[in-house]
Amino acid sequence: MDYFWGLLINGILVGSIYSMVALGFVLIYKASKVLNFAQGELLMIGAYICLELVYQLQIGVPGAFLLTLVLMSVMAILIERLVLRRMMNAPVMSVVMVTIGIGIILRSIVLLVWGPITLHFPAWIRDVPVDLGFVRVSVIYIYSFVTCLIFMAGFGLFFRYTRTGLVMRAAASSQVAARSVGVPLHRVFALAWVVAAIVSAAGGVITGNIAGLTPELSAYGVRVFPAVILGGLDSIVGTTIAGVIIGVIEELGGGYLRDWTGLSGLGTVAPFIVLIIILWIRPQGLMGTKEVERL
Amino acid sequence: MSRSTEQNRPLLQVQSLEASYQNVIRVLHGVDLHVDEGECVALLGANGAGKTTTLKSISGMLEGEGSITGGNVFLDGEDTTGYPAHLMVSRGLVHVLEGRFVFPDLSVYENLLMGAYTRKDRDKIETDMEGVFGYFPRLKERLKVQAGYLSGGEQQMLAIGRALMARPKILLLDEPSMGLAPVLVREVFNIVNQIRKEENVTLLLVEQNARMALKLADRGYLIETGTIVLHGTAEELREDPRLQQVYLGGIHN
Ligand SMILES: Nc1ncnc2c1ncn2[C@@H]1O[C@H](COP(=O)(O)OP(=O)(O)OP(=O)(O)O)[C@@H](O)[C@H]1O
Ligand SMILES: [Mg+2]
Repeated sequence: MDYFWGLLINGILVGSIYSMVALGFVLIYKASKVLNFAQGELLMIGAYICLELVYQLQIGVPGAFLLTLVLMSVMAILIERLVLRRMMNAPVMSVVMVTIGIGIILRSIVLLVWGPITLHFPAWIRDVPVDLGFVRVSVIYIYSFVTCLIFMAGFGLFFRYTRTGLVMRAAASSQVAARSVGVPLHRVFALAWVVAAIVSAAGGVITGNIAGLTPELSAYGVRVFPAVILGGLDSIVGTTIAGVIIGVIEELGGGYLRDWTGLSGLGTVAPFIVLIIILWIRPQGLMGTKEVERL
Repeated sequence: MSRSTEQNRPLLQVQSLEASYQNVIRVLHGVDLHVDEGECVALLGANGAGKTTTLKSISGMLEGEGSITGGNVFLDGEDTTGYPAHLMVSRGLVHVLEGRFVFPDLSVYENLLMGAYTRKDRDKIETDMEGVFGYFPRLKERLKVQAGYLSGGEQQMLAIGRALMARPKILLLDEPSMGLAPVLVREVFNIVNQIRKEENVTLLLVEQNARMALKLADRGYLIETGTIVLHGTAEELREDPRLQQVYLGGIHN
């Protein structure tokens, strides 16, 4: 039973990271109809930037984390300003190709600067297990989960209650209507990229603290895909729920399938199988609208 | 006598405007028109004549699907040719698009708030919203409803109400009566007329319903395949045999 709870908790944690990263993906899609294939690379570069700041500035992981978010926001604005704004009226497919290019550049930078070996954050919290009554969980997991919750709730409140949040929801609802009331869309796109960079970097730092840093972190871009599609490409609530579902399926599936079949790595495949079955029944995803283009 | 002769500088002036879609299809071939301050001008024409394209070229909404390839647009004396839409809205020109583009996922209230996006005097927004409810009481009843669930007529009212929230100097209305039941058509026209009198707003009105439009307008233009072929006061146009034959021949109410 402990084994089950352990896997479940793990699944929820991994899933909450998926939810957060998928939020960035969905937000860019909703605001600009662009599929951002550099999402995983943003996560990766965020983790490396944070690591570098920790060692260069000796300010500790939490301080470096906050500074990372600032730097990532600046980077997102630069990407929008220098690359994407020039492509405002280009076909969506060209913009998607450009995001793939951005991803490749970011990955090359990481390989050049930090190399392919696994790097680690310094241990900054004592890794004592916390007893939740039915299961013991490593304290770093609890930190991570709470951080994800804070980010998701924070952005939820931002979209619901601030003027800028309203403008972003409006642009996501109808770009044409937004232009007609005088919203400069490029500013909305820039903001969507900032949010996406922030949630990705947060996901990267959390994952890096748990599992270490390799350029392979960029694979998260693909791993959140089942969550994005399952949630319905255009639904933030759906994506959040889907992220957790995918995380749990991955952990439970991986754990038990390994025991039964003796093969490891099935966990990563499991979500894609479940995804195919669900899309079979509900092609628009769990909460998505029917009109949305499928990939 | 129309008011146009009393003023010397028009609020909106369009000179030999040419426009294309995707840089291939030439749609406007030198459109000339002007709208003086306080005037209501109707732009009439058949399906595909270029009415919507003319409005989109003026308001900057053409960006993304087409572009201006010649001529000029002046707003209040300033050359605004090719300006993006947000710069036009902040200069007081608001375009109510054909097909009522509301924000379907936002509530009626949020839609109206978005209408005031470019406003600096945010403290006056609530009062102005009350003003909008004066014209469209139904919107007040539906305040919390998602705009996507409104009926076609209600969405049209919301689109006009949202445009008023910007406190425009000039409003471009593209077929406000399209697809509405005859009773609603008359209601929408009455309200537009009322707005025109009370809000001190200049109007450029596109309509296929020429009879209705010419009741409201001071002057009118007739556009055919991308060029103005006829213009005059509303009265002159009502009497013109060309217009009468084609557009007033009893097909419309
Ligand atoms: N996005 C577009 N791409 C290519 N051609 C277009 C586009 N929009 C309109 N056109 C063409 O431009 C011409 C003028 O269209 P426009 O929409 O301006 O006409 P309209 O007078 O508003 O007609 P309606 O009364 O049907 O609204 C038409 O021939 C139309 O087919
Ligand atoms: Mg039209």
